Amino acid sequence: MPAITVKNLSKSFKIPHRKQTSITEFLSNPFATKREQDTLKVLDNCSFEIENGDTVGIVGVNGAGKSTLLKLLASIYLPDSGKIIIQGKVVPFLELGVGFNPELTGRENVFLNGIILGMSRKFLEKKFDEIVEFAELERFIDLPLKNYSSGMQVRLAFSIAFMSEADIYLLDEVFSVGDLAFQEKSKAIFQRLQQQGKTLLLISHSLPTIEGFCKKLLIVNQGKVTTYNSVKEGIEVYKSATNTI
Amino acid sequence: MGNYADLLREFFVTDFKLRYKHSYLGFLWVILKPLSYYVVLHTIWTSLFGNTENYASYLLLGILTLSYFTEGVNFGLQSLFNKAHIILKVNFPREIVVLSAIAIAMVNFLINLGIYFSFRIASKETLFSAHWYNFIIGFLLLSLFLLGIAFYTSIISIKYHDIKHLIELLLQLIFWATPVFYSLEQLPPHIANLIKNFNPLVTLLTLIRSGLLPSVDAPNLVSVLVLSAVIVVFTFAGYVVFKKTLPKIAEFF
Repeated sequence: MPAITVKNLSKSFKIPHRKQTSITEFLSNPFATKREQDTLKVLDNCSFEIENGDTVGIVGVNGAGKSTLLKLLASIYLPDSGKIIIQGKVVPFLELGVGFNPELTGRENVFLNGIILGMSRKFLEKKFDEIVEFAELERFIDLPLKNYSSGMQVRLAFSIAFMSEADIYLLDEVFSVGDLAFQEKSKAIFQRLQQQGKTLLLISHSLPTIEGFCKKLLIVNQGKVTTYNSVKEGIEVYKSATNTI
Repeated sequence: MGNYADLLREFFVTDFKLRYKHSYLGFLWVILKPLSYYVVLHTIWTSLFGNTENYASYLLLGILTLSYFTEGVNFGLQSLFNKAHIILKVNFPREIVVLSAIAIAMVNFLINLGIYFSFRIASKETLFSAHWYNFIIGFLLLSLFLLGIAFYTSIISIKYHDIKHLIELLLQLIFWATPVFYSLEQLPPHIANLIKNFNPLVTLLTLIRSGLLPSVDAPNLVSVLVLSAVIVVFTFAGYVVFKKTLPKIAEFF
């Protein structure tokens, strides 16, 4: 049984041509009321499967629908049609540091963010020292987050996020954070997740990251999702497609 | 389910902390707002019509209840929008956001009520009338009503920003059409009846007052039962609508 099965998935967004915002505008030009709507088919009849324990990279140009795809998998958006069948617990986040508040201290943010990501307060209390240690922020943990450098913030976010226990991780551009030493550490975490047999989906614009980690590749392009079982081959296709545009 | 309570608590505590973070008077604003209303209304009314026994308590309870309603409606309306950055990234039971918004308004109300109670204790008055349970019923019904309103308005406000202005207007009108500083008996009967029938706050406020002030008569049982039924159905339907509509409108944020 695959971890994720997607069948004939479609999602479109409506884009009004002329944005009519108020009655005064309407009165000043009542004949322009025919509000034509463009439908932008972000995903059009896509089907794919992702096996349990796979690490899958997702690439595509800006606006191709990568994030929309992950939001559909995380059930933040509803599909227009089609089916998504998921086996296992999905970590419910796509980005790091969701809900982080600059006015709160690092400590408060650990709990706020951790709980938003679905961990319990008790669990976080147990793991708190581990999180802070991994983020290397022992000295700063009681300072407001706004006094952190952006690198420090992301390190904290990363350390919290990877405490969550799930079977499927949906990650939208979460790598390449922190300095070199921290990147090495986060790679180790990532490899540990792979060894534990977790299913990982990650969006990245960094092809080396994808080549380094992923075993399969999804290319999202013009509403279609294509699966490549060989990352190398997929990247070649992606590169040549991007070059021709 | 353990996370449900944790999340509610976390949203509540964070919002409560942040609300007055950057103000000099900070938390005092919770008390200052209704107090200043009270001072102005009390001064004007008593100088126009003279003071009557218990008017101070009557007025203050009216202001506190109306403030709870106004805050609850406003917080509930903005609740989803204020958490859009989280809602679009993480999947969690969305109604928690609405619950925590109403909880903040509720706590503000209870704090003010506590201060009011301490004054009554200091002046050796009894806190509750013989119908103390009316206060509890009124408070619970009002809270449930606020929750119901928030279920509808928070959703609508995502697609139609106009509702903010409409609500602002309605809240102003409701303030004048609720016996906060006057009493219903002072109005001509046909107007009093009109207000009583169309403004649910009249009965709710009377319930709350009658539980605390011996001089205020409890509203009649039938009207309380009808109102309770309406509020329960209204709020439950609101919850169903909220749960059904929300996933479909995530992309409109």
